[in-house]
Amino acid sequence: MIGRVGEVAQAMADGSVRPNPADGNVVIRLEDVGVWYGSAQAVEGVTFDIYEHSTTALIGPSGCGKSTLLRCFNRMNDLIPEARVTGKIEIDGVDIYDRAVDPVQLRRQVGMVFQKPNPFPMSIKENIAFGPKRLGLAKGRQLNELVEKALRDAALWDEVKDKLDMPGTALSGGQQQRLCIARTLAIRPQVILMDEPCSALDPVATLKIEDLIGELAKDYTIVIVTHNMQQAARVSNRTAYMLAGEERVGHLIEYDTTEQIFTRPKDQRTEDYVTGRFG
Amino acid sequence: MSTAFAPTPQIRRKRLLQTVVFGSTVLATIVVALPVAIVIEYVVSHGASAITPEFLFDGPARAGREGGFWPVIVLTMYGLVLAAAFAVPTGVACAIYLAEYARAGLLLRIVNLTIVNLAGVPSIVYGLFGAAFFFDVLNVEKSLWVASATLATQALAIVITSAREALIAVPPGIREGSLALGVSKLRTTLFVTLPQAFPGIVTGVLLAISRAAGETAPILVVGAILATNVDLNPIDAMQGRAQMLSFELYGRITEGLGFEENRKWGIALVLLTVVLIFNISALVLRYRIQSRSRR
Repeated sequence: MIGRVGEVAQAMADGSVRPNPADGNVVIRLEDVGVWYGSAQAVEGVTFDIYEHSTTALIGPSGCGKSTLLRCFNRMNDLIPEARVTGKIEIDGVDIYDRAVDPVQLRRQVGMVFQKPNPFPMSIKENIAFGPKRLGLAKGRQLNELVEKALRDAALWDEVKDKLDMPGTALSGGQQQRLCIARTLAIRPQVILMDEPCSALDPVATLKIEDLIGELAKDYTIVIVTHNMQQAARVSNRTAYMLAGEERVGHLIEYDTTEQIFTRPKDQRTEDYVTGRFG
Repeated sequence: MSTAFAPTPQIRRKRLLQTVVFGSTVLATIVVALPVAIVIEYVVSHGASAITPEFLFDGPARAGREGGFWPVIVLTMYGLVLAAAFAVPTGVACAIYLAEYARAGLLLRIVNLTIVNLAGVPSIVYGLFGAAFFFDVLNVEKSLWVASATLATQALAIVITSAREALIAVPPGIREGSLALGVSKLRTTLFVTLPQAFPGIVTGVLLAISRAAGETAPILVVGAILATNVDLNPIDAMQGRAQMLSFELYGRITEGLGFEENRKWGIALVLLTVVLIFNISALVLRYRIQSRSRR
């Protein structure tokens, strides 16, 4: 067994792993973050910073709390009545769990792409226009231009420009996921959260999404949860490795540049995971 | 000549079993569908001879023994539309609260159970409730709108239950997709969840209103009358006494002598047709809204 380090090293030789980014501005700052569902703790004591215009991957085995943590960044966990967040999450210096923060407003700045493509039961065009229309961002010609730009930015325009009135659900899985990304781009968020966006897609569709993530990282701050280590290595600048212990509470084990995590991890548990000895 | 893929006796037995099970489901469908077909055939064959332009479009003469039932037909339509107008907005709003907003818990379970049980309350009880509430508490006169409101209270249970089920059946991912765009919960409900639940809601409304069309007991209690010539202007008609085909039929059947047999069946045929028209128009509406959302 060559192990996954070998593959990652190969990928780096191909130049598909980004070089270490110069530290940019911190966009999301986590301080001793914990998440509870009722009396059960899911995540404990997570502290790290996420940088602007970079892609940060959250990796770890199932049940390590990586998706749970991601869903705190746009307060999607608010939808679960018994969920509770402790510690502090700041976005652009604002404590997003402060009373004065409206989660609806927050989500305009922090978009999300889900595990399973979830296009609305509307036409392709309406799928994109839905957000801007409901939020009053654009209408008429402006709205049409916005739709086209979002579809172009999501690398979907050429495939759908002749069938904008077709239902979004008629597209293939990969196209649906790019439609959902375009839908998010249409409201111009600052941060895009991606919760295992390729786990329901075939390898070719996955590759397209990964290329897209690379493009988007120039303009957006991206946080991606993935169970696919190659994917984390391919698309991210920094990687956070999470692990849940015996008591099923997720902890941050190690956070560093992706290169460091995959080639010279400091923690034995990280090494075991990225080399495929565990997980 | 036997091959490696020839069926073994065991597989033959399984196949036979499959055929028997499949056959019995077909049989069950026929057993259910046949009475419906027989009823329709019976009503048509006995009532068709009564259906004349005069029967449909004229007012009654000689206390309904001659002439037609135009006022009853029109008032039945008014009454059903009005009952839907009372029951649908209230019922759907209630379903939205129960499915989208109410917190899960014992209280919600009790409320849901109560609503389901309301659907099983005998219609005469709704009639009594309507009479007590409108005549004794609100002190209003007997009228078509009171009859409609009484039918609506009964229809509510079905409307709420079916709308709630339809809303719950909408995949949560679609709601999340909208919320994640920073669209408020209210707008998400109105523009994403509700349209998606619409076909299910229409089916429930159809069921409820079709049942209301056939109800006799509740409108009897709130003062329905037999066919009379009245002003058919909707505003006046709503305030006048209720005339409905279901009650007309009941009245003519119990009246006994002097009313021709085929005219009774004629009324039944018209009632059946009114319900059918109602259902078809709702299905057309549903189809048009669905195909619009597809485009």
